[in-house]
Amino acid sequence: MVEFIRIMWVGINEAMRLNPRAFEIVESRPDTAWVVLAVAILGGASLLLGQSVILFVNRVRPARFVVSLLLNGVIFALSLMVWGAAIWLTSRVLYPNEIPLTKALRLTGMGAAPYVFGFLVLLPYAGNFIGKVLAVWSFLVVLAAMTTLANGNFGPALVCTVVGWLVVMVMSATIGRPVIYVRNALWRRLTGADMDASVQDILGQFAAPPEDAATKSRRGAP
Amino acid sequence: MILSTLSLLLTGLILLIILGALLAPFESLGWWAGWFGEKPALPSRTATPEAGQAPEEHPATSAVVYLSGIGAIDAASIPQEEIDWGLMAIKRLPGVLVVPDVYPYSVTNAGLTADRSFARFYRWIERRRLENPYDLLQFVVNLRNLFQVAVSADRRYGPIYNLGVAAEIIRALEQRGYRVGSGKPVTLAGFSGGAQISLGAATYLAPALKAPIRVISIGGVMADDPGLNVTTKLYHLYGEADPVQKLGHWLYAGRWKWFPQSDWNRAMAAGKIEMIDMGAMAHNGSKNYFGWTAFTPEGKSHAIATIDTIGDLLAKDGLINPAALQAARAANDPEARAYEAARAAEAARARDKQREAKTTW
Repeated sequence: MVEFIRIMWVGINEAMRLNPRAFEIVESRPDTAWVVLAVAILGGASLLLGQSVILFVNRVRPARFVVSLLLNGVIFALSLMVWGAAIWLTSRVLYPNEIPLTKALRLTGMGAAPYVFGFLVLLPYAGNFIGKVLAVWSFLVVLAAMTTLANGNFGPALVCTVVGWLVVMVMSATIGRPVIYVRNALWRRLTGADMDASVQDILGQFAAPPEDAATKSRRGAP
Repeated sequence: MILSTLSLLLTGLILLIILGALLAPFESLGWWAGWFGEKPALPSRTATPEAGQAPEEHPATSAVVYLSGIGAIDAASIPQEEIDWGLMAIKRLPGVLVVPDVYPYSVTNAGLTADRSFARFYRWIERRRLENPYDLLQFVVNLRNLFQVAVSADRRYGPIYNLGVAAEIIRALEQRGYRVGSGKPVTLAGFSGGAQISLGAATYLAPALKAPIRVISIGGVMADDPGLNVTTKLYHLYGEADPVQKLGHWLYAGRWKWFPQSDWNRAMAAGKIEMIDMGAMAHNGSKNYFGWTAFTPEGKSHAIATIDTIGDLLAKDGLINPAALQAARAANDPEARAYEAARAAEAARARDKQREAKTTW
């Protein structure tokens, strides 16, 4: 277990440095798939902790809060796998190769490494910016992983990573909708709250519409 | 060896500060989610006090609520100079209901020494501060409250935090006889971080009180807050020797000129924000806005000058009768002078004592 955590930590650390060795280290172990899965789930859970304002706004109870974090970790891992599959498919079509799908999935999973620090999104005011930095960082990790997979050929790796991401976006807006529906239903069932509402939606009922104040000002009310 | 110990201590301190910042939003978020037992009491646009429950209405024609700076431990435990300033403000602002006891750094108005995990620690800091007003450990209180200001300014957490503070302001107003729905204008006077929280709370106060809301920032560090959209006017009092109040301008992107459509810049363009130069006043130390021993070229102590500027602004907006204001000042001037002289004598004694101690050493 200690060795497993150590390998996880080394993988995260090296992946965040965009070091190709990170992917060799992770790939060198027989339980590599579990290491990557653990990193992805941890990243997803940490990111939701950083974005937990939505759970609080929807008044999720403490026990379900923990369940939500784990669920988000699993969903996050799955979404990375979908991205990995899309990248693999793109590479097969544009640059015919013999790279196994499982290897592409494992390396894409390491893209979750920066999100292990997703809890930092919690920081007041600076958190949003940190979230954006982590998103770019994650993309760069996946790009570095794909470059390693393409034997150092940056161009094809960039094309496959970007096109793969676009494929996922198009799919989620079209044929992926039923999957998203099932995901949301599962989410509602486990967390006991409808997560569609934002802070502004829920608290807007207490706030004044700006035109009220503007009208008052025009009337010259003291 | 010493260097490595120092670097270890520094790393630990930085990690503690980051941990404090990470935990800062949880108080208001947990309050909203009902994690801490009681369900939040919220302001309502339609609620009016039931017959027989409402206290007798205060005859004042407007109200001023003071929200203290980040040095506050609870509503009553604020730096002594601010307490004295508030007491004098009550006397120099006739016909105004002054509410000085809202603790703006908690959504439940619960001070740091109330029933909290670190209450004993904060009580210890409070005792130290009473013995030495310049005790360095009060920096912990400042930092804790500074994070709450950041929570108020954050568009994710701000709505919850500011709603909680607005509910507490309404409760404090009602306790002093302000009738919700009376339409009497309310002015929020906030010092330092209190100004940001004033702006944030304004979003919810305007519809709940059905009254015009003004904000007077005293050296305030404010963000580009949506509360500006419902605020009738924002007066920003700034000292030329106060670099802290400029932080709001530097740190919050919505205040930069490159974003003309931000709430702040639209309010500026509409003439809603007025900057008032307070002369050589500072943010901290004896020359701050509440100082009794530093004087303006006109011979007023900084504390009195700040109160009088607020009085002038309220009179300009028709919230104070100018004749009554002049009368109140004339009646209060001897007391103010005596108070200033007493503080000056006290400061001189403290300086002598310090000099004596140095000589002995």
